[in-house]
Amino acid sequence: MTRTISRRKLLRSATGTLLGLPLLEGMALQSRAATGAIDPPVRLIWIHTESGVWMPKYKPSSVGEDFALTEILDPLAPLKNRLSVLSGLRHANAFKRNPQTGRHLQDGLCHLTGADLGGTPGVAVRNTVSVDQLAAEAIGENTRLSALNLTVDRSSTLSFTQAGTPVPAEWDPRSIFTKLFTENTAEAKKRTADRFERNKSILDDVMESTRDLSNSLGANDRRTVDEYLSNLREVERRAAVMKDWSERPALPQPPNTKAPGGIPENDRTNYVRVMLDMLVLALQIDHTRIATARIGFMGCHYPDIGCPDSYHGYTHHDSRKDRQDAMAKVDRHRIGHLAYFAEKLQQIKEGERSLLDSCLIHYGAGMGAEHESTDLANLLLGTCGGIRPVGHIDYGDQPLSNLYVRMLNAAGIPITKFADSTGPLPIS
Amino acid sequence: MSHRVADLAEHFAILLLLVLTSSSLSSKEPDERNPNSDNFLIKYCMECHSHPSPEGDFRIDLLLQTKSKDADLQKWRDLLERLESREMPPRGANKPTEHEYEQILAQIQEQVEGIERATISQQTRAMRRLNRDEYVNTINELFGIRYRPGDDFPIDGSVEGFDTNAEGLHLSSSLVEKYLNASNEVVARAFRLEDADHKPRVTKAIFSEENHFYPNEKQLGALSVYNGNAHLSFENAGVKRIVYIGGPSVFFYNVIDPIGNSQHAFNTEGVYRLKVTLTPRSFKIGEVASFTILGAEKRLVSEHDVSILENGKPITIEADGYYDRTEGLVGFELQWTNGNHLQWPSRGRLLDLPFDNSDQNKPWWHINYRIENGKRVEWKPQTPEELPFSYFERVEFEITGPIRETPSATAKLLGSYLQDEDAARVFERFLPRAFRRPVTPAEVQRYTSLVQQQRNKGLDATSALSVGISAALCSPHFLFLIEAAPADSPFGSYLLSDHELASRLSYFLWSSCPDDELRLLADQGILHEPAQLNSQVSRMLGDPKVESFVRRFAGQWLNLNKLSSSMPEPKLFPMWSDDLQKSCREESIAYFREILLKNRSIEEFLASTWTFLNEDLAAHYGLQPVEGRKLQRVELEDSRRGGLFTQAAILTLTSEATRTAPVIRGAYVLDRIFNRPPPPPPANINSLIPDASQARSVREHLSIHRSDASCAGCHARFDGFGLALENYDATGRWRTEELAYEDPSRSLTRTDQSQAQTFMIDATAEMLDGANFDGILGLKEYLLSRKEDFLRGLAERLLIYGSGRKLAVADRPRIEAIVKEARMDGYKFHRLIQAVVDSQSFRTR
Repeated sequence: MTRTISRRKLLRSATGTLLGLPLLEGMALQSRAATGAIDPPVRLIWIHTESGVWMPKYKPSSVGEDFALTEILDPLAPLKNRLSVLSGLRHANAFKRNPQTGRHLQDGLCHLTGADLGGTPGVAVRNTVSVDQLAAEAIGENTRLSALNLTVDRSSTLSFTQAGTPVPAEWDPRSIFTKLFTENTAEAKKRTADRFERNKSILDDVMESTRDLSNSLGANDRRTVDEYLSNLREVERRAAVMKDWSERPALPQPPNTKAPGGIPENDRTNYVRVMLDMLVLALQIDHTRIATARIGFMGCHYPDIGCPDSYHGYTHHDSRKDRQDAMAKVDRHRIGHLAYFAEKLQQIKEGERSLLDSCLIHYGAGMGAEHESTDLANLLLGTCGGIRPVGHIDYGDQPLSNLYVRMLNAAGIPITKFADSTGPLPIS
Repeated sequence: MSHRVADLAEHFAILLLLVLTSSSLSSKEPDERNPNSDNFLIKYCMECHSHPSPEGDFRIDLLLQTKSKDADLQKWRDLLERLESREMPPRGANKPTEHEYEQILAQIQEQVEGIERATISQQTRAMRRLNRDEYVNTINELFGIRYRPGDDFPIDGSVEGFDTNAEGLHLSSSLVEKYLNASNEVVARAFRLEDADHKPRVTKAIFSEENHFYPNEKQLGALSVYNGNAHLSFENAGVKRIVYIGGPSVFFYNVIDPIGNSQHAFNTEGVYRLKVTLTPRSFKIGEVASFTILGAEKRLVSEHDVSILENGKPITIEADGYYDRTEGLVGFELQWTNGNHLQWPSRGRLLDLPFDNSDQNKPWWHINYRIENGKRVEWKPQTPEELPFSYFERVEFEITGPIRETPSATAKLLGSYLQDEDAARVFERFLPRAFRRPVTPAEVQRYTSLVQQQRNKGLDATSALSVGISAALCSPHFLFLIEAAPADSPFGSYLLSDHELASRLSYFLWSSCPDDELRLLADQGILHEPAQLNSQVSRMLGDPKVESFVRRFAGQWLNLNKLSSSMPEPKLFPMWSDDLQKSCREESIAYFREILLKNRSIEEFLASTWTFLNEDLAAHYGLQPVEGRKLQRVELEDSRRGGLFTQAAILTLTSEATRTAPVIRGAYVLDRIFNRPPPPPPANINSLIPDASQARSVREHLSIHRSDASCAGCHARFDGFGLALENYDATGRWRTEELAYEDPSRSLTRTDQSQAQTFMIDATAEMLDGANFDGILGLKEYLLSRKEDFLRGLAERLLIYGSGRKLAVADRPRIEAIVKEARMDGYKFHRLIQAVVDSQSFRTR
């Protein structure tokens, strides 16, 4: 039996209820009543906007709780009492030159890993583990899915494994929805069980022949084959977890839940919101507690709000006001997505509180709109895990990784160090 | 020599001494430098490239001091390239003699090779897995099915521009999980295992006056309006009908039976049969109606010519389409030859543009203009007959699917699989194909015993066999291109075996596994013989499977995949549509295909007197009309077209939505033609750029940038290419005037463009080597004068794609050999590919 399953059993016996089940209204109340005062678990969400944010229209001019919202931040007005605008954070490693990836790729590659990709030219780029995967390793086994990674740009992800390889992100809302609900019929359970048996036979055989092959290869090739082997093991482990989950009661579908139609390819606004809707659903039924979402990338066009050129085109603004204004418009539009997402979470009740009350949502850019890597746009929405909103705070020049350490601590993960961190970021 | 240089020289003489002392312990030390090369660098480079204000941020002084050779490898390569092209030292500076150049180049080349031997050979992972396309092609070839599981796979990373490099082909547990699932689905399809999801269903949709369809888009569910370019519409009040059906994915995703309101779900990939019954209403008797069914990417599926003998009498046409999730399948598009209606310009655009779903109560279509010769003309249909598609009184659709067929390759594979004892025969046949090499009896035994275990568990014979096949499809022997180089053999020293060579060759030119003939030659051990290799390359280039090479190589080399994310602003470029975008892309693909299949000279990539056009493209380019939507080869009289850089696809994908971007175009030429991409711009780029907000034209704008010396160093190398292309607008149309850079119509506040400020285009350019030219004709001439550099660039790209690795300095002499061979045969494309395949660089790892 895997470590995962036994851990979950421990949790179950300790609390008298199953933490992995949906904390829907009523159920959550019950669980807290039964055990005294267990707060709902902290959910960690990272939202990334690529190619920076136009800081002159983003950064508040004053610090403290009474700071005035700027043009770009204005859509967050209804959520201001949950908002911490964190200025003066930097990515120390983001822009060590790596001619292979280029600055833009490093933006997304390093955003949640803080990795130093400035390695030897001509040699494969190796990323390091991203903060969401680190969190997933620690607490991901409490839910069906350890972490949900979303993107609106199919070819990219923010998430990387311990080995530094990319964790592909979901881009199709239908496929997410299917995984949330449709696997729970009795028929599906039977299929899952049969498939499990079949796959087990296949995996056993493949792992054996992979081991045989590994022994016959030189060191370089063996590394690749061994990586394949460890992925096979992971697939086997995950299959066992899934099987275990499939034997549990089905997750109820919240009322008025609608399956998404498809990918609104030419309607970016709608696309982002449909994806965020899926994330809300996944959090609502406690399918996962950890998520990343990439809601904008450098090639994004927004003709629907009067910004037809790519965002990246605007960042090379040549001091032209119209392009700077267009950036601000897009930035504000994207902050609007964040507000939309948070307000949806706020409407969902979890016990006496709202789901938003147990979420920490980081919104940030991996680089500045001027292609710089200091004083990046970062903000945190959330009031849980000991974090109290601070309004606008300017840290001067601290590693962004400190924020990640703080977020993981807030979720009960006792790490002290991540990438170039120097300690948990004080937010209070 | 200035004081500064003299001081530095002294300073470095000391440092140099230290370096040499520390490295002279071993005379074989790869990084040992010849002091002569240092003298050269100090003499010619140091004055500008050293502390405190190094030009281009490039510090020779550091390079000479440093001991960490791996970290500086890229800098040494840059240095080599700049000297090789004689760009450095720049014009006006003290220039070395040609002899000095040759000496220093030879010395640096040797040094860099040394560093590479010491680093790359240890670190490059040469073994790679199949990429998505290769995986899909291979399983489809093995089983004779059409299944595209790769569409759900994570997108493969691209390294040096191609998805064939191990460094971009990551492994992840979710990919491995998808391999596992796909291996199950492959056998389910190939062996036709029962699965509820695959039962064919029939959906009918009838559109006629009685049904009162489509009063507004709420009820227009019958055909999607998402993309706004594919509609079937009848107006409610029984007045008139419009039928327009097109736009691939649309039709298949959203066909609803308006009566039963059931949706035909296209979740399962497979063959679907379309049956369309049309009842003509107002055709001339005897007129021939031509119906065309187009597939994904507007590829022709079938054509039907029907004589209309009687109005009111139904005509039925049928076609099979293969539904494919990402390619969006197969749309169904009717075109008919009817004097007036072929004239209708830019099909689809008419209905597309006015579409507005903001108001749910407005009729979704309200036509108020048409497009003639690329311009919007106000127009409102007065009578129903003016509408282009009002010719049917009833249209019925019937969709059946998915329909399963017996895949012939699978039938052949299974042969007489009746008894359990036959399993061994199946694997003896299957494994050498799947693993692309001979297999041992022990390997066959492994799979037959796996099958036997399944039998013992109670599975039926076919299911048990399918477990074994699935396991083989998840085996690393199938998923990886394994090359049995002796443990850690030095970089490039291992000559591929014949079977390994067969795989490399077939994945290069077919993106699929070796066929029987290649395997046979490999079994006989003669594939590597030059004559065999040459004739196999010729044979492979003549096989339809070479289409994978055409689409994949051309698509990645020319970055055509980016075109689909280009979104020219509709108000400035009303002609642009999804259809046109596809036609543009297909022009470039067809152009590449023609040069390859007809074995033309690669010079024709740069300039030609022909291209491929259809009616939309001809109109877009303002050329003589071409009939129909099929691309056809057209001889050009106008030399403003012909050649890659006159093609709308390339001109558009290197532009912004509202304007041209000469910098991007220029960098593209350097990158794609000469394979010498410019380095990325420095950090904090905007702060370096002088204020140019007063500039009127893109050209003025750029010249302000180039007044900054740190920008000019690189930009002088490529801006000129882009400036010479300024006569092509952001969608590749010819123009002689440009809107003023600051004109507000760019920001779309003004709709009347007639009042916009314009000025004449200046397309002159000056290059770093002193060459001057004007516009596209000058550019073509210039590029042709550098055809040798282009040949080298293309040879390198082919080698990177085909060998799946980065090139090293050690490859340079071999590339020169390839260049020489192709040159001797008149730059013919086939000779170039043969020379690449013959090269040690291709045949070793």
